[in-house]
Amino acid sequence: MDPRIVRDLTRLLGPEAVLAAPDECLVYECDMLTHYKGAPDVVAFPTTTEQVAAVVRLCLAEGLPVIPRGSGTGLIGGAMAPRGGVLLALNRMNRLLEVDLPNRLAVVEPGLINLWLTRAVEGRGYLFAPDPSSQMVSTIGGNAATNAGGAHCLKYGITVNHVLGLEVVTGEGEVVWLGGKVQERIGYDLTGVMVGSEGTLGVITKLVVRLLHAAEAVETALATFPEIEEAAAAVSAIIARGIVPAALELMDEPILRAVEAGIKAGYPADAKAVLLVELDGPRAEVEAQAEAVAAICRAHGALSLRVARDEAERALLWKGRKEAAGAFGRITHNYVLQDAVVPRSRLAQIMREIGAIAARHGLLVANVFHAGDGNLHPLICYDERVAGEFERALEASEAILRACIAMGGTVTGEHGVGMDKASSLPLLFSAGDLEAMARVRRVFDPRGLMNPAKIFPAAGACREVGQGGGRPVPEGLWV
Amino acid sequence: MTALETALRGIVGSEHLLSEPATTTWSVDGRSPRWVAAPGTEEEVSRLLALAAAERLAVIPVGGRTKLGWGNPPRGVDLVIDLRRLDRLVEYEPGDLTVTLEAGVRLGALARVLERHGQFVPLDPPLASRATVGGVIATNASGPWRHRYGTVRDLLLGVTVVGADGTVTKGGGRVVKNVTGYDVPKLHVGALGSLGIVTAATLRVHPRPAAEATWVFGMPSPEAALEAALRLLDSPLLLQRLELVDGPTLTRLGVGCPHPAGLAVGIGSVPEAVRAQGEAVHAVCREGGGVALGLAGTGAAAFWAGVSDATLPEEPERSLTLRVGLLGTDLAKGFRLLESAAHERGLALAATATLGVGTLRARLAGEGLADERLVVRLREAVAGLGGALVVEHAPAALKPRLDVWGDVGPAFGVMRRLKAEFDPLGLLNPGRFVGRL
Ligand SMILES: Cc1cc2nc3c(=O)[nH]c(=O)nc-3n(C[C@H](O)[C@H](O)[C@H](O)COP(=O)(O)OP(=O)(O)OC[C@H]3O[C@@H](n4cnc5c(N)ncnc54)[C@H](O)[C@@H]3O)c2cc1C
Repeated sequence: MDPRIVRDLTRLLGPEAVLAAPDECLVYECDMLTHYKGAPDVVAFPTTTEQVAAVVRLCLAEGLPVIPRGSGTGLIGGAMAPRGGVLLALNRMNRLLEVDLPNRLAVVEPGLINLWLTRAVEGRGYLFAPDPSSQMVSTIGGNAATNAGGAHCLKYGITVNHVLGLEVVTGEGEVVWLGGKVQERIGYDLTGVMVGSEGTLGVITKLVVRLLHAAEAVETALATFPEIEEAAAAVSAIIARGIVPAALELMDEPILRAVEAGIKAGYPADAKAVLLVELDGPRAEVEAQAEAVAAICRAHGALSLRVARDEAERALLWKGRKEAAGAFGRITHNYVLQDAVVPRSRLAQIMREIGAIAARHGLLVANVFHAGDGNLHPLICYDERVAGEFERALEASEAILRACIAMGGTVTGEHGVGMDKASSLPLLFSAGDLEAMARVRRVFDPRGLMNPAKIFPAAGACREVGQGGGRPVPEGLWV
Repeated sequence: MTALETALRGIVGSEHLLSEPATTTWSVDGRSPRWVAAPGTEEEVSRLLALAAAERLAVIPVGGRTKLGWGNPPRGVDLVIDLRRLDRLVEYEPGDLTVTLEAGVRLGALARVLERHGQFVPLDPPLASRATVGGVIATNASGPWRHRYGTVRDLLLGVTVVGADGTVTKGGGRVVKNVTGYDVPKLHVGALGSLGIVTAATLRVHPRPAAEATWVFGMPSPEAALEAALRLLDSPLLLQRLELVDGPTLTRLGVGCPHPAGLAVGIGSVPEAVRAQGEAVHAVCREGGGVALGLAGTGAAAFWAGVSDATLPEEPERSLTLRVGLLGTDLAKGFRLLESAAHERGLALAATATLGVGTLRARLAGEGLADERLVVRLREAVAGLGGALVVEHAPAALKPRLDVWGDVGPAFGVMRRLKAEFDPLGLLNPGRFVGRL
């Protein structure tokens, strides 16, 4: 890296806001999908939109890539720099700028941690609905950039349904507001396109987000089943009955064993699947639906059904789900995490299919996922010390993805594309479909300098899949 | 017959092509098209657009023609493409809560299919039953259901689009969660068909609540109505619809309302929850000075359809219809602005507002609509509140003197580049969209 550029950046942002030493930049070489690596040449910590714009313009002038980054919890090879360049760490732009409860909205900077926003308004009965499992660490800017989902998006929608407006520095270095506090919009829905663009169209520097009023009542129940297919069928039946729970999460046997070993959740010994159902809304509605859900579970052979009587019990029921991925680290050395979707009427079928794929590849595949939306997260276990296992795990992962797509599903349900799934896009989209996306890219980022080598399977992108990927996530984090 | 006309007939068949003078009833802002073609398949749409691009024809896609007055007058009207023959239901699996259908399907027809499975697509724009899915996507038109369910933007999962050069592409998918690349479907929402012609779409459907109820309250003033609405919103009550309707309009809808404003509230849930929440709603409205009014004998469905349609330009040459976007808390101010403008000019005002969203719809009717100053002044006042004003309909003499959309601000540069990428020849609805794109 040209020292002149580091000097220019330092002049723009101040010395405490620029890291250029290679060992310091190395910290930013990957997101949570650690087998994609690429350290930036410089890490910059802007505190204002003007600084972001100035850095982007400098990079444009120098032909350097710009990589926006929130908390780096992405699972896609997203907030990292395979072609070097300047990584914009937005963590110091983390203020909650405005809360307007009568209009049920908040204005925030992109580096604000998701959960902090809910913490700031929950005392007054409100919440920010998108709740990716990483919500205690991931940023709202990152959530918008990946259009994150979460356990409760079954009922409340994904991030894009909760973003009213964005201030953006485009790949042309312009600062523009897309949308805003007023919901009625004029012109193209650029907010909707920017959300989910993974930093490839520009840097989000402010967000206007919706706040929701908390529900009157919440009921959380946990049912166990003798077979995963039965549990999956129960999920489909609940949805088909016209009940839209706030959350509908499923865990299979390998996950149960891991969780049981860890937190002693007290699942029956013969249970092969656990279904967590959360209903919320007006009290009378929740009560009526809870009865219907219990009946459906029993009709599908549920072994047990436990309803939380208070907040503490509710937390306990969720604990197993929340710690599943972390607890799983105890029983496997490494895993590949897949994020695919099937139509929800196909859940039982895809569970059988995944079982068959696991058997064929001689690997353990565990499932813990957002069942209500048909969003699967199979964890494909392997041991990096065993030659060839990682490759086999990747093969199994790909096979699962293809099975989902064959059932009418998609390539990624909530984590996004990044580097990891860029080459899978053609499974779903034709060259013409991808060209439509490329046009959008050219509109915002004609030079292709915003987070390059992501989403689009760009020619010459170095796909650095090293040995030993997909480390188990730390305990306390869940997917 | 010209070679071009022969080619058009070759694509859609003679029985599906109209040429002048039979096209006069298809005029757009007073200009009748040279041809009206009604393709029966996506492939025919594709061939039509490829031909239009080669021949530099200005193309206007139309659905149910319920909102053809939206947008600025087109720069050219050569070929109207009538999409109503694309009316097939492609796939509907009730258990998935999604439906894939062609763009010409009317919302009314769709509703009848879903109803049999206790489901619905919560879209209730003006003239909903005649409106087509493609038209609703292109206009992003909404009605009272927007309060709970959002607009088609929040329901649209995937699209098939024929581009300006005839290329067929897909965006999004058929499942409810999908972040595979850019959200291309969103590009077409509210784009008024300026980036491509949507020929098919996958929508999220919702289960229809087991019980629904509607209550209407006469309120002493729009301010009091807003105040009560804000109290309802600042509570865990789960409302399906929450509309402000001016008193005379309510009376016209069959709800005798001697008060200046009314609040219409809809709730859908299980019967017990509807009852319990209804009591809470009554308490809040009564405290706000409201009086419960009886719903007309026609029932709730007709009432709400009436609310959706309340500001349509009944007498087109004597009506100006507006959509004003504001912060919810400024809606009473917006209402007063319209009221005093109407008063000054001796116009009759009909207004409704989706309170939880911040959308105010109004019709000003009478003589003296010919000059643009009324719109200009209202727009300035609305902009002063941070809002925006769109003219949905204006008398023929007035319309060419307005920009119906108003200024979109600095993001316009991006929008212009987007239009240039997707429709470089400027043939799709030329001039009708923002900034006369
Ligand atoms: C344990 C665990 C659980 C998870 N659970 C979920 C889940 O339930 N649902 C889900 O959807 N995801 C989940 N994720 C993935 C991840 O947390 C989300 O994608 C999250 O939204 C990323 O936020 P971040 O701040 O960490 O962004 P980063 O990882 O820093 O960045 C993600 C992407 O967004 C871009 N970006 C970040 N900030 C900006 C900005 N301000 N402007 C423009 N672009 C920007 C980056 O360039 C990158 O491409 C999980 C991850 C982990 C580790």
